Amino acid sequence: MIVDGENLIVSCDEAQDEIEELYDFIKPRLEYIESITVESDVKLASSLLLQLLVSIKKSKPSIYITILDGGVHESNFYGTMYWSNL
Amino acid sequence: MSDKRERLRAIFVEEAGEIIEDLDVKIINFEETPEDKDILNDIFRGIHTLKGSANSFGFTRLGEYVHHFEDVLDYYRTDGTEVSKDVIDLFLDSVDVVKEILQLEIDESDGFPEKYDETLSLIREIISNKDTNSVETKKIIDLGDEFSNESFDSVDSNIVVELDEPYMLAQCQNGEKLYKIELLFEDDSFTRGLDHANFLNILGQNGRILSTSLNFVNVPLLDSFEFRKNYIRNILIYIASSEQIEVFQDIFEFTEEQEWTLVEVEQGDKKEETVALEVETLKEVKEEAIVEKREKKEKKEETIKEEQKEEVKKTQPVKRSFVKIDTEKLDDLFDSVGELVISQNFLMENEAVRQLEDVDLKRNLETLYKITRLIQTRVMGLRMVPIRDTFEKMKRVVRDVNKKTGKDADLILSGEDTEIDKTMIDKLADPLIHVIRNALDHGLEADKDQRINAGKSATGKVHLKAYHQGGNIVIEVRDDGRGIDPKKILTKAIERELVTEAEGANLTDKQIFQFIMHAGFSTAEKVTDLSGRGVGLDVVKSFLETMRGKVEINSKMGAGSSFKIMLPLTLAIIDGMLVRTSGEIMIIPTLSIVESFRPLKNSIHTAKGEGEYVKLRDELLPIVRLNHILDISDESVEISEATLVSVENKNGKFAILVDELIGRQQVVVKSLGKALAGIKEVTGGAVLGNGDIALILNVDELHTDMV
Repeated sequence: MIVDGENLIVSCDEAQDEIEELYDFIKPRLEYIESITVESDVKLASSLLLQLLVSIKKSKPSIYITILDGGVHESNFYGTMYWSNL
Repeated sequence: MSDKRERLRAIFVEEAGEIIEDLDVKIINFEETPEDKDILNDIFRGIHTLKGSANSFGFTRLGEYVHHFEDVLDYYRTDGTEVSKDVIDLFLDSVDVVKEILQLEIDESDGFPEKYDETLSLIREIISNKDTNSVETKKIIDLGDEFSNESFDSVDSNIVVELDEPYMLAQCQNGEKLYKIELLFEDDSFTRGLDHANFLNILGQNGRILSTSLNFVNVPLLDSFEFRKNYIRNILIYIASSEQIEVFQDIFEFTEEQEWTLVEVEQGDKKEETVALEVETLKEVKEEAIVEKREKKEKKEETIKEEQKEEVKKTQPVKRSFVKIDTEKLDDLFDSVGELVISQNFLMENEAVRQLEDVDLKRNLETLYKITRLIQTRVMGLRMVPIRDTFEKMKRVVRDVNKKTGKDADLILSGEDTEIDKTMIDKLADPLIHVIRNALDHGLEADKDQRINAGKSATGKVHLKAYHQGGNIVIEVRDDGRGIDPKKILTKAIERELVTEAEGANLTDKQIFQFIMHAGFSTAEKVTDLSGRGVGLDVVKSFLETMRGKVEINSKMGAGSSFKIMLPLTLAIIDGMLVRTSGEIMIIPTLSIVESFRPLKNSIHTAKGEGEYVKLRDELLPIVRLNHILDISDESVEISEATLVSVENKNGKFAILVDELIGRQQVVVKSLGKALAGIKEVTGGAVLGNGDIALILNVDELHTDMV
């Protein structure tokens, strides 16, 4: 996880413990974060990351999350990824 | 990860390691006695246990691989097909893969072992030869298809699942099939070790994922978000793959029936056919199929349980039970007992106690002394384990070397019940492997003809033997090969400037053989991947230095060689000779002592600039004055009035000059503090009965010049 001003950079290969750290970090700071860049050139380590990102998106719809906001996401590993009920 | 889960994971890793460690030996034993199916059943049970635990702890790569391994073992144990040498090779290679995957999982590293694909493909080839019940499988597939559609509709999501299946089918290439998989994990899936990502990644290894659709309908706002609770309602995956459907079914072996569906999407309007069936009928048949699947699974589990019961029955006559104890706790216990023994010695040597006249009190003190010693012996016994397991593991080494070198050698074991300190056993395997590899690769003749011409059996023999000798453990590796040429070793040693020609002329064969223990020393003309680089025996040397042991090498040209590794019984206690020098008490490990003697005046020689020597029988031994070396004092007592202790280290024999021999005693070894840790001539300390501290000498470092 890298904090770059109002942008947060996370990687798909964050392990569960790292995702928990991300959760702890972002919860009290949500209003200050404008966008989250998700590096998806690596395999997903845990689907916890996806549901956390969706929860963030649901809590703050204005936040821009790269893989979720593009409609569908083309992944090298998981084909075309579709999200529903964001 | 929670503490509890972390602890459970650690237990799993340890137990998995134990199971895997035994597999090699069991497979080799099975190769030796193929008629004994109990061994194969035992191997199968080990793998089965591993499979269940691996998946529970999220070690899915391991879980998946051992699942296939289990299948092939099951095939041979139930089918009765003869297990060929090639299959044994496959089993052993699979064990190697399992070991490597476990390590990757522990390290949380990506990737797969080198032999992963090769072994898996061989396993699949064997399994594919089995008759498969395609009808039953087909039934599950078709009904799963309908059921999955129904379940998906019922969630009433607007997920983009109405994907164009003909479009997906069109993306399949070169005979690939299209599979539709749905994951429907429960709320607690993460805590059960089920993570969608792991399954997606495994699926991706078995084909090309064309699309993944995730339904986040249940995901709450951040305020109500509970970490590690699964909110992903379902995931629908379309994957193109040339694998059979069973491969994908196997991936979900450890999930509940309701947590996944799998359908092979076929060309044509298959849906119409199935829709024509009554939904109720479909459900019934689906349930029937699930019941069949479950019954099959239960039957398999039952068989295993029955076998385990049988195993218990077999072992019933020996009613023993075991408790696993952390070795650190044993060490703590041992330390406490050591303190108890020291306190006991204080008490027994106390002047007031010694002068006691009360007979009853004296008798009670004697009893206390005996009980304390008994406790010490018994606690020591807790650390001792038979060397059998380590010896058995060497069978695999011999088999592998035979295979690589094309030689034919038998390993003959004896003394496997000899007990040795657990700490040492853990570190013994590597050095022993090097010595055995060396014996096989360099010791034995290159081919059978050479052996037959030398009047030996065509098959080489390597004896691995353990026994007690003079309060020590001896592990001997003896081969009946061509022997070591001392001239060749000496030439190489001179070339490497380890010794001068003049010095070399006076060395015995035993001393010359010690050169091969030097780092980088190799006379091998051809370096193989087994040995010849001169690194192997260096490992042995380091091990011996750590373990306070020594090696004795004997060899006779044409008859063979032997490596005798001598180790103390335990590292916690040392059997030592207490000596006094300039008023200080020192301990010389008895393992290094050859003899002690009072020198005659005419046997003492002094060479200018070369030091003092004593002639003992035909040998001229350098004299080492302890008080000088350890900077205790500058005084130089008359040698003929002192006592000399002849000791032997890797460089040969020499004599330690001491004022007095106090006596032989077993002492508890205590590590030295940081201040003394840098003194290389001392390995540790011990508290004596009178409360004095005595230093334990490191004989290897007292005299480092070649004798």
